[in-house]
Amino acid sequence: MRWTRTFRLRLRSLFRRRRVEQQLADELQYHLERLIDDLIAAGATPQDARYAALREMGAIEQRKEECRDARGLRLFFALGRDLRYSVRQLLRYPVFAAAAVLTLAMGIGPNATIATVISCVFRPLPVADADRLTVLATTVSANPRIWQRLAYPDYQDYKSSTAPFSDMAVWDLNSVGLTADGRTDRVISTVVSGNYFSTLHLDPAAGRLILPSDGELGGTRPIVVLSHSYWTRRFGASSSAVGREVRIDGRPFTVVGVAQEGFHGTFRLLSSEVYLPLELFQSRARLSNRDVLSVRVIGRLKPEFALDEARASIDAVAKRLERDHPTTNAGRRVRVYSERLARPEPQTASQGPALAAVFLMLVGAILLIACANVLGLFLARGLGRGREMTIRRSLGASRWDLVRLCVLEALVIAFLGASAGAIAGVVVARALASVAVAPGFPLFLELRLDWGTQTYVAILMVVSTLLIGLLPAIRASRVDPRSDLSDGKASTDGRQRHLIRKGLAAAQIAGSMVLLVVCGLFIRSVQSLQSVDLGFDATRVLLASMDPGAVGYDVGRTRAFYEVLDATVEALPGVESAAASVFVPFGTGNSTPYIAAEGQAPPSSTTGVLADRHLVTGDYFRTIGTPLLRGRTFSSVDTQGSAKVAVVNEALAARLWPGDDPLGRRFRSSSDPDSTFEVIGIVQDARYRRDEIGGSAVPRYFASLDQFSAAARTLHVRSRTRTAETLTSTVTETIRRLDSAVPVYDVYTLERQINDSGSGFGGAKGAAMMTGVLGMLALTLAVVGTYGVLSFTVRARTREIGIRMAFGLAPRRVFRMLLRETWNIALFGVAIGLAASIATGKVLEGFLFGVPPYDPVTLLGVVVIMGAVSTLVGVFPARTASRLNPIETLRYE
Amino acid sequence: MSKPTDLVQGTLDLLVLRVLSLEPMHGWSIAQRIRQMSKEQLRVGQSALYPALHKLEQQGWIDAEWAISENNRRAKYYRLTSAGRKALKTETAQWERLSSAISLIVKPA
Repeated sequence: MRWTRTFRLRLRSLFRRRRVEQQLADELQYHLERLIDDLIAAGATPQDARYAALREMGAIEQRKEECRDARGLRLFFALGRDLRYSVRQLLRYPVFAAAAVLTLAMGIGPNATIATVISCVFRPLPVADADRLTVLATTVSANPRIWQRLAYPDYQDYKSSTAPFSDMAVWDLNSVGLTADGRTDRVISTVVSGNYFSTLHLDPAAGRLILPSDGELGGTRPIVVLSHSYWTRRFGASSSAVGREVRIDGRPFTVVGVAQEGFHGTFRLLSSEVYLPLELFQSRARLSNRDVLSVRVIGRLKPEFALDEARASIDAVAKRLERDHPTTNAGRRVRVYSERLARPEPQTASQGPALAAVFLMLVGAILLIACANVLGLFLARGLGRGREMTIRRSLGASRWDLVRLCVLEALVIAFLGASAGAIAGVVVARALASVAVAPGFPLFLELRLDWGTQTYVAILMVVSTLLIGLLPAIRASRVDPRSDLSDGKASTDGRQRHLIRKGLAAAQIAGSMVLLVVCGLFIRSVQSLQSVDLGFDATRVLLASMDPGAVGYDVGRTRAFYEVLDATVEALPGVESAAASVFVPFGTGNSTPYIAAEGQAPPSSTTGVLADRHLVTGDYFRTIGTPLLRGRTFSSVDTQGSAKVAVVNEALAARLWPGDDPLGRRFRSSSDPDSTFEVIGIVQDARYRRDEIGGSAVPRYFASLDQFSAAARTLHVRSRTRTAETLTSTVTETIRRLDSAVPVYDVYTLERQINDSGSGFGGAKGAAMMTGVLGMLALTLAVVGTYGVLSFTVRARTREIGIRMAFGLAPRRVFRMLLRETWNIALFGVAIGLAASIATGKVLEGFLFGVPPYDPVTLLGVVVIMGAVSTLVGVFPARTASRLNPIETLRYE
Repeated sequence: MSKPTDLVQGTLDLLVLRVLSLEPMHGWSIAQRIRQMSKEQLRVGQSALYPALHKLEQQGWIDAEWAISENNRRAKYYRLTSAGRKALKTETAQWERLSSAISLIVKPA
């Protein structure tokens, strides 16, 4: 290959430079000697021959340079020289260099943080051909919601009659208790079909995985596959762990293998520790019911099919199912998403990338502000270097040489800034991930500086290099070598130069304003969320979850356990009341069956009303502070054997029996098809979900935990004092004393659940905090930048101001003149910032609550802040200028 | 007497390749050989020759090694590579086309 040879030669010239140079000299020397020999042979004296030969050879150094040129290395050597020069220059001005690098690092850092998080969330699964994986989700016509599950019978139909998929598998998440060596961990498990691992193309790290031969739904043999991380953490990666017995929810299971390292399941944001056969954790009846959306589905596309073809094929089957099963499948469709985009859930497939883009834009704005600052520094220094550039030009440097020098200096700064920023960014991201513990949600983020992030940062580095280096480079290239090198200076600078600087300052103000406005909008969202009357009293309530099922309690033992616990906790000093519930307001778990009044068709997805189902104990309403409007709550007369009863909210009553008295009426629910519920009480509407805020409450009914048992419950404890947290240790202790084996988890206040969790207001709060920090960073950078520009302007205008003052301009008016200039810049920046803020707010509209994107309070507040800050920034340089001694400034010149 | 700069662009490369196709030689003798072969009509100065040689070497058309010369000194000997041989063929053909085309116009009918 010729180019490899050329490359080798170039490398040789580069790295064995001394030898190549020596050879070049030798070669020309040889020629010279032959020439001398020739001339002597022709009769010249050795002396004359030597002179003549040297004359003919001309400038040997120039010849060498031409040979080097022929080898195409001149540029390279020049670059190396310039690079060394730039580094030396920067070392000569350490304060300038440090300020520039630090500023840029502050600009790149947030970008690296956001890019790391985004890359972590959207990183492909660690499986072969991950880009062929898809996620299926159900929709129902006339309902904008997207369900992340499919009915199992639907799944079977799609699997058997669609060509584009090579395989489809089902899975779901489940919390289980794993007991080994006398200790019980509550872990996140993935319950899987037999072909789950084979669909993903995964191999075991030890032992074997759950296989298609175990059964379509993973089989009924109690086997468990451990995740590599859990195997390492809990069993010390010991090979003897494979084949041993562990207890899962009290039942004996055999560990058959360990999944591949780095695989944490198919739900991003959570780390699945064990994999279990789905069949053992879901009832056949539930699975075979076409009306219950029971399983999550992941599909693998054949290489020759595109996503669109898969969608078309799925649609065709959906239409057939609609005809064949009109009672359940009318209007039901299934959407196909690329697995990477459907994270963490298919519901967010349309929002996730948009939110990611908005955040990248916001941190991009910070980088622009930082670049503007560094550019300001470079330009200010460039003024002092005009002389240097002119000299270089006069001594023969080409325009291109000067441009290269300037860009290289920028590159050195950008490289250092980007490296520092990237490292700091990832450190911050990790710190954030460890701080951002969402209550009740063991967030799992594998944050690292991966290739994607590194590439992104590298691109940002190049962009910043150009932003920082191009303008000074153009300046430098315009230097006229014939221009006067003497020190004479015009009294005032060109108008244009100041315009660029002022434009930069205005842009910085505009950029930081956008961030502050976005932060303000999120703060206002949190405020409006928190000001909503939720219909219950979240203060003074402590939550504590436990799962006796994890250590094998049956229904009878579970009931006895909770009865004793309830009585013991209520007897504790400082406890007003206590009650248990399966779900928590603004929690991740929920149950949403379809209901229908008695006398109507049995409730199904096509005939019923979608309702929230809660399982609670009798004291629940008193404990949580929701007023019982009429009727009664559950009592000891409601037992497993007695007629099923329910307490309903106003919304449900109005929906099922509009205008009628609901007390004593009966309804049926699709989740308990064998029971009919009698309404015994009506409670006031309360808000338990974020989507109920700002809209109407959803129909909701409460059934008795004494009639429908559930092992995993959350104890709600109302404290007598304002600080419910103080009960934490007493309550935990009480549960431990009853049975220390029962896993207790998620002990925190209800307020925390609402304010900090992902299903509560945590998202908006987190966004407010994040944009707040970014906004402050941007504002700081902008203040520094604007201050720099202003003080520079004052310095550059010293002589002009001196003359004006000498002619009688009062210091007070100098002060006002300069402050007005600051205000002009600020006004310009604020105007642009306002427009950009409203545009950004529009994009974010879907993430705001009860706040319009042009919220006047936010906008006004930010404008006031910007005005105050810019005035403050402008005052100091203006005061300096007004205190100038006109005589001195003129003498100085 | 033609000075090399007057030579048609790229002709020097052709001459060097042609001369080296006879045998490996060093820069001095390449210049001598071109002079002899052109019956003293073409004189290639070192100012053009050496950059050309380095360029050809960079292109991979010629190869170089150090050897003892006829006057017992170390000299850099250039040798045609197989790529160079191919290049010589195409360059020669091109030159012939060009020169005959020019002759057609320049020669009186």
